[in-house]
Amino acid sequence: MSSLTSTGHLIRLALRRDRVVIPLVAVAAAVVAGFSAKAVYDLYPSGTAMEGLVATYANPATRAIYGHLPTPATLDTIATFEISTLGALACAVLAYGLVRRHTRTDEEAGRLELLGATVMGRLAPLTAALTVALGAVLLTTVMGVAAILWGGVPAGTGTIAFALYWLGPGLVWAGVGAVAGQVSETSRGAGGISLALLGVAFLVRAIGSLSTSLSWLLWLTPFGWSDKLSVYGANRLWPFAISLTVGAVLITTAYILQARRDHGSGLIQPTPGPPRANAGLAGPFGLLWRSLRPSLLGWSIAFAILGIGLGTLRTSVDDMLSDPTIRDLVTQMAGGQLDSLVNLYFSVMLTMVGLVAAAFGLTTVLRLHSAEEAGHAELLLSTAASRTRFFLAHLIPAALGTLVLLVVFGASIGASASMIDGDWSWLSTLLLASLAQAPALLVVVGVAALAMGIHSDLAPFVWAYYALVAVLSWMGAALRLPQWIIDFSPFAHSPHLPGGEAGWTSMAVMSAIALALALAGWWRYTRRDVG
Amino acid sequence: MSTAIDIRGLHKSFGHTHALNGLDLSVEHGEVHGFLGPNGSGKSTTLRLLLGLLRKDSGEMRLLDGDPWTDAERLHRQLAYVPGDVSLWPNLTGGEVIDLLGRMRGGLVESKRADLIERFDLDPTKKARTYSKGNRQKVALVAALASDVPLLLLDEPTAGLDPLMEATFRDVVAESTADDGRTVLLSSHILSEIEHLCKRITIIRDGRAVRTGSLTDLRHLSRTHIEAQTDTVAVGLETMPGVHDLVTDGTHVSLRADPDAIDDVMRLLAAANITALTASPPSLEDLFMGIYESAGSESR
Repeated sequence: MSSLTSTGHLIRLALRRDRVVIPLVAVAAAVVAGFSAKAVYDLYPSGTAMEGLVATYANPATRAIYGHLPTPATLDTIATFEISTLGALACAVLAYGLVRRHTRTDEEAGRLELLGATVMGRLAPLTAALTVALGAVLLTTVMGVAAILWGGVPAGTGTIAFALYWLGPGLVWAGVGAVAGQVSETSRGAGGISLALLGVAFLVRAIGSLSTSLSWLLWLTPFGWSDKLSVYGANRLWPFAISLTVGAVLITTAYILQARRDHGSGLIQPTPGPPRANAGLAGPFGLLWRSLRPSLLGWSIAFAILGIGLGTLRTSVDDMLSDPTIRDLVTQMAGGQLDSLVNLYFSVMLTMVGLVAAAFGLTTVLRLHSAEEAGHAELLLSTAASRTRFFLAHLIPAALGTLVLLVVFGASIGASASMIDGDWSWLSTLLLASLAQAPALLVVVGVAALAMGIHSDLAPFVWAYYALVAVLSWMGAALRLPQWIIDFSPFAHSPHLPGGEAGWTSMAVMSAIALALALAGWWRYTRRDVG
Repeated sequence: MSTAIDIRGLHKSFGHTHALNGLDLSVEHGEVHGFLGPNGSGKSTTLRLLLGLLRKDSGEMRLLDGDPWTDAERLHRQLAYVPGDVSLWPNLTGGEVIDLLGRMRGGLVESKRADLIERFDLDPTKKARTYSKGNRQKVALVAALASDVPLLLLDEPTAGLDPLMEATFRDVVAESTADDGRTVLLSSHILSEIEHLCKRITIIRDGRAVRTGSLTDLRHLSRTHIEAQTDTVAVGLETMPGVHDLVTDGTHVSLRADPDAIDDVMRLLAAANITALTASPPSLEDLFMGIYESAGSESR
């Protein structure tokens, strides 16, 4: 028996289990890529002066998220610019997610033990997981390429660069996922390592793109290597070799570790814990808080760093105000509501970070789903803890946690902008602007609460809803969707702050909706079958 | 005060599946009541209904003079539950889980907690994710048995325990009824466990109680195994009503007799001059298999 025996069986098993999620991600990425490419050509007729257009993409908000617009820029460059980053992110998440799912998750659940007792090679599960993950990344890339060609982007070297842009991070995070699965004994830990590295890589790339003196940082992150491909700009292909090498090194490391370790173990060994529970661990609130605390702390630190980083860019935003072309475009983009580029910048950043904060709220509410799935809800509800308490033990931390994150982000971006500017009014302005998003966030949390009140199996629906809200908020305008569809996202009704109207009415209405959703969810939860 | 658990004509469906079809179950105060049935017969559904986790479709259900659905919180202060497949929080230690569940039930008896941890040979400093199935089961058992509650609902609580720990479990449950007067509803299909602990049992099949009563009574209702050696060949056993599984080998006879046929069988054997005789009451296994085989053939 070779160490790869049965890899084929495992691949077929994985494909059977993932027959929905892989095509779904590939199709979703293709749809977004195709339509946003097409939207660029529809929006700007050929012959549009590139100079002014390029300038709009030079703003820090765009640079922080999408990197530098490749040069020399054409409409094709712009058509593929934003979806390059989005697709690369999707490929990275897909890659580590699939590798983790078919290695550490299965191992922790004991499923691999069942299979390992059959005629199965020691390295077969890792090989199968990597094959499936890389295959899925390749499929997504091929669909994405087909979609942009459909959208009107001409075929050429740029097409290859675009494909490599997506493949690179996919390859690297397949390797990251493989190594993380060796290091951590738990699926949760492996996912945490992969996601944390993704966040760090993205942050490093944002800093490298924003600061001229720190632009060398781009050589340290897979997203930077992808940026060096200069898709539909200079079209360099060789930087892909870096991603390829790093991916190969990571994968080799994973194989070496896999071949040496015991089944079920990781590099990080478990340590004994306290034999008695501390006084705080006495009910559903205490229990949730215990697992939520480190997570909220991590999110808060990330939000604070992000806020400080994005706040320091306040000056570079100012410089661009002198250009009249930009001033016109800003007024257009903001629907005439915003008075300055600085305000537009902050407003866009606050919306984006607000969306991320909403994800924290969702994961917290959706712990109701995982608790029920795992049988924890059954055990806890057999004690004197009422359903109401159990439900609120998730809903209240979800709501408060998102508010904490908004405060942390608003305060840190405000403080750092104030220090740059020497004008401390930014602190209160941005703090309040950040908090003004709370009603929209709470609506999203409320939808999750209602879903959990109806049935625990509705968790995927909640994520689908969130994805829809995110796409509408980020790309709704770019995709030129009708306003009534965009209005479906609660963030469309958030006030455009700073600079816009406070919009007390819509904030009050959204708060009322959020409360109604939560109450409906609670009411259903106390009346349905659990477990 | 009436019975601890009183269920009459209970129905519960999940979509098109009828989990419970008019179940009757009655558990007296202070008894260990065995709740038997094969996989998927509705035992766990019954327990979840008693815990107020599920909502009944119809029927009567009283638990400690309360309604399991509307009085859930009050009732849960008086009971402890051990699920058949215990899933714990992977990052909590066993000791922490025991404290958490105990506090949420309204308090642990400290001396019992320490005693049980020792008797079940449990390491409370290990993280739950590193426990084996048996050890997770022990955590839930210690948490339940150390709680200061008069009623225990146990759903196949010894699944995964080694024989030594199973014996410990029996001792501890027996003590807790004898010393503390606890009521226990013990769902299980480990027949020796039930025989050891329970005076009364209820056997369910397809969501309906097919037998209920004291083990002694049920045994009397069942076939007795008779083996006899006679001088001459006993004639007429083949045609006698109430005689089953008859095997004759010359003057050696082995059979199972219905309760009301025993007298006739003995007369007939005595007429053939008995030289050796053993008569054994039905084991719980015989009882169980008998009920299931007959119920199975009825429904087919």
